This record gives sequence, structure tokens and C-alpha cells, in this order.
Amino acid sequence: MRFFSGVLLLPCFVASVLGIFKDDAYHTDWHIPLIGPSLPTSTFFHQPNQDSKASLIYSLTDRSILAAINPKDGELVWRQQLKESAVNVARAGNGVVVSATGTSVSSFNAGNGRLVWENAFSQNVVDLRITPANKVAVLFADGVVRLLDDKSGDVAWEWRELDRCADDVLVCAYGDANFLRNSTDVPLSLHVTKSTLTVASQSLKKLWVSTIDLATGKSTSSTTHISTAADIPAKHQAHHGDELLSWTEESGRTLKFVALPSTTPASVAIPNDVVETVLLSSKDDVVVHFKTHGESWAHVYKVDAKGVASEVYAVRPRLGAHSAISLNSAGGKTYLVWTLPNGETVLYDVAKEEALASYTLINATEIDPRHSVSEVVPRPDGTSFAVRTFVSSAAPGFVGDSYLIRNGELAWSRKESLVSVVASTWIELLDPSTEEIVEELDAETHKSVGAAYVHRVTRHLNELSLYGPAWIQALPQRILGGFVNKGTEMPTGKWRDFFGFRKFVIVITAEGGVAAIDVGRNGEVVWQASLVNAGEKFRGVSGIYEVRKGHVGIVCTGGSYVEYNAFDGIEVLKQDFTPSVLSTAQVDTQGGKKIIIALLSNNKAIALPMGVDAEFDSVHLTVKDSTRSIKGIRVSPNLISSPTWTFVPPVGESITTIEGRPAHDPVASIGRVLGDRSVMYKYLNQHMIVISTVNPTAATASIYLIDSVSGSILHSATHAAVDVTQPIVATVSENWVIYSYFSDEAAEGTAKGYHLVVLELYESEFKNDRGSLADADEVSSFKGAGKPHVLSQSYVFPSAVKAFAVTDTKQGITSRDILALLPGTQGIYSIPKRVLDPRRPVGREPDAAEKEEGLFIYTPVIEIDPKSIITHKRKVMGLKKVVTTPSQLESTSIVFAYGGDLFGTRVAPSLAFDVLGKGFGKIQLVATVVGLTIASFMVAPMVRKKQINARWSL
Amino acid sequence: MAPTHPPKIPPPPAPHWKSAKGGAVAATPASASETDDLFLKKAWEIALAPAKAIPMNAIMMYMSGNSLQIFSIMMTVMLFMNPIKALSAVGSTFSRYDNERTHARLWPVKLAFIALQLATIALGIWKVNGMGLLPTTRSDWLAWERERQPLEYSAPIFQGAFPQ
Repeated sequence: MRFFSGVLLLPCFVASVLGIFKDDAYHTDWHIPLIGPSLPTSTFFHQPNQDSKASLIYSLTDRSILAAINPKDGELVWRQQLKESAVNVARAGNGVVVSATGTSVSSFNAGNGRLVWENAFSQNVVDLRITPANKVAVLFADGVVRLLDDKSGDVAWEWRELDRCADDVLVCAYGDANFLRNSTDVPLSLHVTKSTLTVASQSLKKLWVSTIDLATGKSTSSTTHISTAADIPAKHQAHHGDELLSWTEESGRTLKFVALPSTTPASVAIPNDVVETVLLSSKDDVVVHFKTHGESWAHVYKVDAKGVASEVYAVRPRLGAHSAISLNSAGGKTYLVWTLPNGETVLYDVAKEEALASYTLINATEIDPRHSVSEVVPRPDGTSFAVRTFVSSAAPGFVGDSYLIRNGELAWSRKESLVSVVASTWIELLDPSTEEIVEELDAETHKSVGAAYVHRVTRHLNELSLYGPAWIQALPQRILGGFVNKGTEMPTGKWRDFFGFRKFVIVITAEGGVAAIDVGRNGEVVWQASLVNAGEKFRGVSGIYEVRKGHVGIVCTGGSYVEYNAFDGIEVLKQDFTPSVLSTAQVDTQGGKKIIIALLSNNKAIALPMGVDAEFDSVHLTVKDSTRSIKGIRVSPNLISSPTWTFVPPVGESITTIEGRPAHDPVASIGRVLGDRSVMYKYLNQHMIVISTVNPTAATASIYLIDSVSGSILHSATHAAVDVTQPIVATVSENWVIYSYFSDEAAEGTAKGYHLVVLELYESEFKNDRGSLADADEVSSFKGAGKPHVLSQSYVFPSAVKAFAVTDTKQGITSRDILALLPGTQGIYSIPKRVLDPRRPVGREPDAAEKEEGLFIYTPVIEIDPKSIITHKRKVMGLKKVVTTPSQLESTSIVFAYGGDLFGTRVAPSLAFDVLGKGFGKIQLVATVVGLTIASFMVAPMVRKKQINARWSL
Repeated sequence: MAPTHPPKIPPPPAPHWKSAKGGAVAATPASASETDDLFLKKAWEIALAPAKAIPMNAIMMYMSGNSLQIFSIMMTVMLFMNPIKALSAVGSTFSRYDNERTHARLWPVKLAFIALQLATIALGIWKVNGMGLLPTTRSDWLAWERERQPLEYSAPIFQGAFPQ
């Protein structure tokens, strides 16, 4: 009988076989590489090398990431993070992609993304073109044009005549120190024809062109001005045509373009309601695309041999503010591909007015195209075409999502807009096992013991008849499933899994988009909504909180409060108020609910949502006023805000960061047990905040620990010889603070490099002593809570740290890991807190008591161990912040990182002590139990016989 | 998986057991006071027996170390079990020597027996303390100590949006 009950119990063990071990890499973590919104002039289809048939999409984004995307599935073939800059240009060469960001020009192998060469200059790059001979012509901000060699990037020739020639009045002399320069001379763009280069520049409010011979680098003709009263916004450079120069005149009401080398411009009047004009060209075909708030249309022009443009036809206006046109030449013809807001694609031949083909998009709703590039291949029958269009969208709140539409079918999409996530909050999902009976459980707690018992028994009987048969039916499958170890499938919808690994994180983009990301299901976007209407500018987010079960409340800086159902994204509530918001905090009311207190810019406080009766105790908030002051503000229950304290750092210091203890920061033990079983009591102050300041003149960095209620300084430290240009980041949890800075010049007793400093705060320096408050059960910040006893230690860390996070578990029993976000593609490094322990013995081996406490000898350098990089081999880019949340398992904390790519994983700082690992030998265990049972059945009669014989022989 | 009912076994053939008391009866009857003295002597022997075991126990406890292992735990448990068993059976241990005459004279014997058993228990307590199982230090009571409740309330500032 016991055997059978053992078999019946087996599923219970089997179900819990899941965990976080090294073999979980790539299973429990996910990574969504993002490149950001593509730049219109630097995105193109291009063959990686001349003889390859398939082409890739190359795109440089406003994040200065150059990437190659496979048009088949939207996967990134390669990507490179370039130096972030406002000026980003990428052009396609033969076998290479050349890009310029800031002052440097680099050439990448188009096939594998390897750097071919890089050349840095002193001036910013304005424009870059590839010559027919595959050389790189670069125009710099000082008007210099350089031709770079395609193999080495070396300068072949330099042209410095722009300033000298652009203005007839001023003469500049080069080569010596006192040259005179006309500061109104602004180089605009560079154009390549077969054998010449044309530089367009603006001087004395006129547009000038200079022509340079490509082979020699000498001017072929004197600079001529081709316009009067030009406005010349830079974005009116030609899209894909090297030979076209365009500009606007008369405050943007006239568009002029000239097909180089001709200098006779064609003129197009821009209608009054047009908000955006885009000019595209391919060889001698020119398309002018007009967009108003409600519709868009296009005019097609043909440039003849003399350089005179004449209109061929106009494309009828279509409804929708956003649409994108792209031109593509194939088989001697030029095609115009027009992508409409609903994803519909219309294909034209630029020579004929009738549309060649039209494709309706079935599997997508609004895609709001901003700009596009296409590739058109006529099929052999001559009447059908293969059209693929890469569209970058501009939906409200989500700028830069990219789509590939292949003959009216959405082949793939990339959520590039999520590159700009600025804020996030976690949302707990519902527990399927208790959610349905939550009312019944509630009823039981309100009944008398007897009635509650009867209620529970009847409920259990009902459940047995309801779920019992299905459970028994599913039993063999569950047992089998446990053995084949295929891993449990994450639930969908609003339900969490058994271990609580599935959570939503609600993120907000810089443009005002709200998206729910399912961290348990590899970062899938569950829903999205927009906080802004089309055309509106988002003014930022001041707070995002889980306001109650399944609801997220967002406070927009501009003065609005929006509440969404966190599971389906339906807007529940929207309230507008004035003026704008300074700071927000979530506060518990006396009824156990949560409300948001918002401090407005007129120093008044309001409770959100408005109109809800909520009683709360007065609450202290901290507001950063400026880089020179931080204010403590007390908001009383009747919403009167009054300043309580102001923190002003010493003269010359400016405040860089403020960090406080996280909202969920459970403390399992209030003391630290030493080797001799005495206790050091932790200084646990919920009001503790950390302020870091820098003094650029003295090159010092200071850290202040402040009680945010009374404003008293608990501790401060100053570090000399600090590189103040490098970020100083800090994190606080429990009774400790960790911060990092860069120590520059080797001052007395410091080492040059990145330092990690840990401060641990105790109530008293003596063991078994609770400080001045002794046994008091309550503490008031105003009544002399006493200063903490601070232990500190400094470590040298091989890398800069962009941000810190601390793992967060349900009860806080699990030891903590500090997650350090490293710059570049290095990822997230986890440092166990016990490594950063100020009690580690310095210069000697730990004694027996210290060993028992788990201390080991102090080593000044923390080496980066590749095993502790939780992003392991993944190349994460652009991450700015890491957030953590507990799962239902005490051992496991869920991690999400954003700011560029999106990355999610689970970590178990004390290893997965509460779940069985994947390597657990279920089969061996069952085989052993079964084997032993069989053996004991077989051996039992033999033993019995032997015992009887033994008795008789006596 | 032991059988609950033993199988039926036929009665054994004629016994050849030796009488347990067989050899001890052929002695001249002693006088009552001599018997009492003998009884007391015997009782003292029983009472002082644990004293002989204490040094051995002490050495064993010392040698087995303070780590929590099955061997040392079992020995320590025995150190408590045996004296407690003995203490609960003090009356029956000495009942054989107990009569109207020896009753009063047996008291010191019993007290000495109890004292020695308690000494063994004390040895056990010393051992348990050495193993760190006695809640004598501050850290043992740490779990019952509470974090001080703050009288004021401060809300964590919104840290989601990083500086733009």
C-alpha cells in the first residue's frame, strides 16, 4: 500500500522540477536587440557584395547604431554601436557600408559587419558620399572636403577652398595660424556625379555650389550661387539621388531642386496646409511627396538631358497623415512604391500615371509610415511584381517601429520604438489557484469558526466533484511530462505560473507610448497604448505605479493621470490637471489602498486619482530642486505641502544622483550574527537616502547619507582626485550603500581606476548593543535616532558602472547580489554582496570566528568573472537601467533591463535552493524506489525462513 | 515489511533449559542485619555505577567534537536518555534492597544515585552547549527582536525616469 501511495506522490516532486542553473542559459533569459528608429537618408537595401543576389537592409539609426537586417525574417545580421552623435550618415559602397558619426568615419564590411577602417578628424562630418570608384568623399563642418581611400581610409586629397571662394569679399589664407574665416559659411551637402563632386553651402543667406574634380581634388569652376533667399533646411537633401540638390525658399512655401551638374532649378509651390515635404530622386526621376494633417499626395518629375525638370503626373491624394514613398530602379525602369497609413501598398511606374499594382495589407492595422525604402523586382511575366518595402513608422508614442511589407503581407515587424523606454513598473499577475475562490476565501475569514469550517468542507467537496475527474485524467500525462522534461509552458493571459516567474512590466517610451512586456514569455509585447495624440509632444513621465491589482497608474509631467487595466491595456481613467508635476510618490492609505501623491510645480500637492476619499498619514517626500539643493517636503493628510528641510552641498559641489531604499526591501534579520554568536544590529532606516555630489574644480566626489524626514546628515564621505566626468552611481538596500566612481590621478593612498565603495551601517559599534534607543519599539527621526556606526571598504573594479540594481526576493532571506550594468556590450555583472563586505579581514587570513561568519581575506581588486555576467554571451547594447522584482520562489529574483535593448532573466543569488534542478535524476530516483520495493518483496520470505530456522536451531 | 503475525510454530520438544537460579541456593541463611548490610553494599554499588561511566562519557564527548553529526548527536541523546530513564526508575532499581529496616538507610544511596545521574545530564548539557544548541547568546533570540517601527512615513521617490 505504501508503495502505491509513493507512486501517487511522485507527480508532486516531478512538478517542481524547474530552476535556475547554468544550463538554464538561453532558457530563462531573453534578449530583444533593438537598433532604434531608422534615419531616412541612411537606410537602404544593398547587396553585401557585388555578386550576391540577395540584398540586406542597412540602417543607421538615431541611436548611432549601424545594422544590417535580413529582409526575410527581420533578424539582425550584424550591428555596430558607433559613437553617439547628432550627425549620423551611412552610405552604401561596393561591399562596404561607410558611416560617419560625429568626427569619425568608418567603413564596415557589408557582409559581416567587421570594421574595415576608421579615421577620426577634428571636425564634425556634415555629409558623406561614395564615388563611382568606391572612394569616400566627406564634407566636414569647416567646409573641407576630403576624399578617403576605400581600402585604408587614408586621405587622398583635401579641398579647402570653400571659405575662400564662397564669399567674394573675404579672402582667407590657409596654412598659418591667423587665417580669416567667414563664419556665416555653412556647408550643407555633398553630391557626386560621374567625375565631379559638388559642394552646396550657405553663405550670406544664399545657396552656393562649388564643383571639384574627383580625380585631382581641384575646383573645376568658380563657386556660383544658385538661389536667392534660401531657407535651406538640411532635411531637404536628396534621399537616394546623388545628383539632386533641393532646398526651400520663401519660408518653406517654395521647393526648388536642381539636377546637377545643371544649375537651373525647378520650382514647386508648396501648398499652405502641407506640414512635411519629402523629395526623392532616382537618376533623372524626381518625386515630391506632400503630407498634410489629413492626406498626402505626390508629384512625379522627369529631368531631361539639359537638366530641365518637367512634371510627368501627380498621384491622387489619399487620406491619412502618414504615408511613405520610396523609389526603386529595376530593369531600366523606376518604380514608385507608396505605403499608406493602413499598410496598403501602391506600385507605380514613374513614367505612367496608372498604378501597376495595389496590395492591401490584411494582417495589420495602422502602421503610420514615416519613411520607407523598397525593392521592386518585376516578374518574368511583366505584369506582376515582387515588392518589398521596409517601413519606419511614427505612430503616436511609438516612433521608429519598423515593418517589412512583402506584396501586401506583413512579413515581420520590429518594435524599435522600445529603444527609448524611460520608466517601468512591475505588475503582478493573478494566481489561477486562488483567483476564482478569492471571494469564498474572504467569506471564510469573516465567518465564525464552525461556519467557516462547514463552508470550507462544502467548498472542497464541490471542487472535488468539479476538478477531481479532470485531475485524475490528466495524471498520467503529468507524470510522463515530468520525465520527458520538456519544461512547463508559461501560461498566457492574466495568469501567472506556479512559481511566479511570469510578470508584466509596463514601460513608457520617451515619446509617450505605454507597452506591457511579458517578462515570463520572452519579452512579448502584450498590449500598447499611447499617452499622446497624433502630433502632440510628450512632456515626460513623473510616475508609474501599480495602483491596485491589475491596474497601472501613470502620472504625466504635463499634468494628467491615466489608469490602464494592466492585463489588456484598456484605459480605465483619465484625469487632467494643471500645472505640471514635479515629483510623485505612492502612499498607503489607512484603508490599505494605494494612492499617488503628486507635487505640482506650484508647490501644491494633489492625491491621484482625484476625487477618491483616501485617508493617509502625513508623508515626507524628497524633491531635487536644482543641482544645488534638495528639499524635503511634508504632505499632510489634508494635502497641504510644507517644506521641512533643504540640503545644500558645500560651495562648488553639484548634486548628481539621489537614491533611496527600494519600495520593496524586506529585511529577514535585523542583526548580523558574528562568529562568536554575538549580534551587530543593522541600522535600518526606511527614510535613508543617498546623495552624491561632485566638485569639478577640486575634483572631488562626496556621498551624503540623509534622513529624508528630518534632513539630518547620517554620514558623509569625500573622495579626492575623482574624474567628475564619469558617472557616480549609487544604490541602497537594507543597511548598506554601494557606489562607484573613477579615481583619476593617483592621489595619496588611492589607486587609479574605478572604485566600488561599500558602506554598512550598524546601530552601534559594540556587539549586542542596539545603540542609544536600546529596546525602544518605535523610532522617530526627529527625536535623535542617533547616528549609525559606519563600516566601509573600497574595491577596485575593472570597469565603469552605468547603473546598479540589487536583487529583490520575496522575504529577503536569500542573500543579495548587486547587479552592475557595465557599459558597451559587456552586459550585466552580478557581484555577491558578501564579496563587498567591509568586515573582510585586511592583510591577514580570517580567524576561526570570521571564517564561521563567512568572511574571507580582503582582496582590493574584484576581477570580472565571465561566469557571473548574467547576460552571458549576449551582446546587449545601450542598456541604461536594471530593475528587479521577487518571484514566488524565495530563491529567485526577476531582472529586466531597458534603455536600449530589452533584456530579461531570473537570478538566484543563493542558488535555487527551493526547486530541483534540471539535472535532478528523476528516473534514477523512481528506479531506485521501484527496485528496492521489488527486492524487499523478494527477500522478505527468505528472511522469514531464516529467522525461523535460527530459532529452531537453538 | 515485517510480517505482523508470526507463523504458527509447533511447541518445542522437552526443554533442556538450565535453571537460572540453580547454583545460587546452596548457602547458609545469614542473619537479618548481615543481609541488610549486604543489601546496602549492593545498593551502593548500583548507585555509584554511573560515576564510573562519567569519565568515559566525558572523554567520548570531548573527542567527538562540537560539529552536528549523526554520531555526536546520537551520543549526546544517549547521554540524556539513560539518566532520565534511570531517574524515572529509581524506586524499582532499589526495590530489591528495600525493606522496613533498610528503607531509611537507603536514602543516601538513592540521593547519591540521583546526583550522579544528574551529573551525567550536566555533562550532556555541557556538551549541547558546546554544540551551540543552547540559546544562551544574543543571536539565538535575534529572531524575536523586532525592527523599530518608524513614527514618520516617507515615500520612496519615483526613480523610474532616468535623467534625460
